[in-house]
Amino acid sequence: MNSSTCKDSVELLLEYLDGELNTELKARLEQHLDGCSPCEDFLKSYQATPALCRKALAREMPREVAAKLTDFLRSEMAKAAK
Amino acid sequence: MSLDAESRKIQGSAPLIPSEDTELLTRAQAGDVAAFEGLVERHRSRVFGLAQRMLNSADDAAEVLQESFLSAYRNLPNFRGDAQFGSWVYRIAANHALMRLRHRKVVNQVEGPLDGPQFNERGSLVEEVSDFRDAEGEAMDKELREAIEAAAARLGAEYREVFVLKDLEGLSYEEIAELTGSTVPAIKSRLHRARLSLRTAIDHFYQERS
Repeated sequence: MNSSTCKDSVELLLEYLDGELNTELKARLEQHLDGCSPCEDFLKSYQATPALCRKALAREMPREVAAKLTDFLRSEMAKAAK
Repeated sequence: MSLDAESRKIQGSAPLIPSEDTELLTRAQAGDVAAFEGLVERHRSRVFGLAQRMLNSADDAAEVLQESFLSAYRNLPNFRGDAQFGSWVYRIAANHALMRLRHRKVVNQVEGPLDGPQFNERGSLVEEVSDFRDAEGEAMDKELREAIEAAAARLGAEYREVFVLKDLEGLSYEEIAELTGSTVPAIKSRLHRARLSLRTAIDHFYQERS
């Protein structure tokens, strides 16, 4: 089995986490991760990124936006009814 | 049910039950305005959230919200109910948001290579990697939130759309391909680049703090 670099390994992370790597690539990546603590940490941080972003970018709809939507739709529906 | 229930929490109210949509939809298609308003009330938060995250602008998101529900209203007679109303209006909103994202010129957005990890000539990581797994369970730090917002705002449109649709909205690759007209491999490639860029921004945040 060929040894792989950190750069090779990072490129495989998305498909690894999706469970879509073939057996050979998965084994090669896991072998690299076992012997490379920076990549092991990198995988953990890569894996944590979407959840942190979801939390950071969560937004509630302001009440005034809901009120404006109501007014807008009522106005448009009234026009359509004429 | 009406849109004026201001005392209710706008987000995170009653769980959405498709059968309630079916009843409201039948009445709305028969011309019942209050029933259409009921559908709007049930789905407006999700639509607004999608548009806000996609466009990074509350004003643009509010316009997408209006356009999307107006479009749904005008097309109610053609909606045959073989899909859920919520999925249908969500797709309408996603299309409106994507069109805006692709066609507008985003103020201060720098289109350039995305940030990512640094490697030496042998392909080894040259930087120390922060451990930020534990931050997932904590309340979001204001400065971290701002760092992530800034990094997300720097993503070009083609990266932002796949990141929002997959990592924030939870759509499948196939659904994203249908919405964006891109291939699944292209979507995966852009998602990976977007994640690397955002990971780098979060990593820098922790490095600077420590």
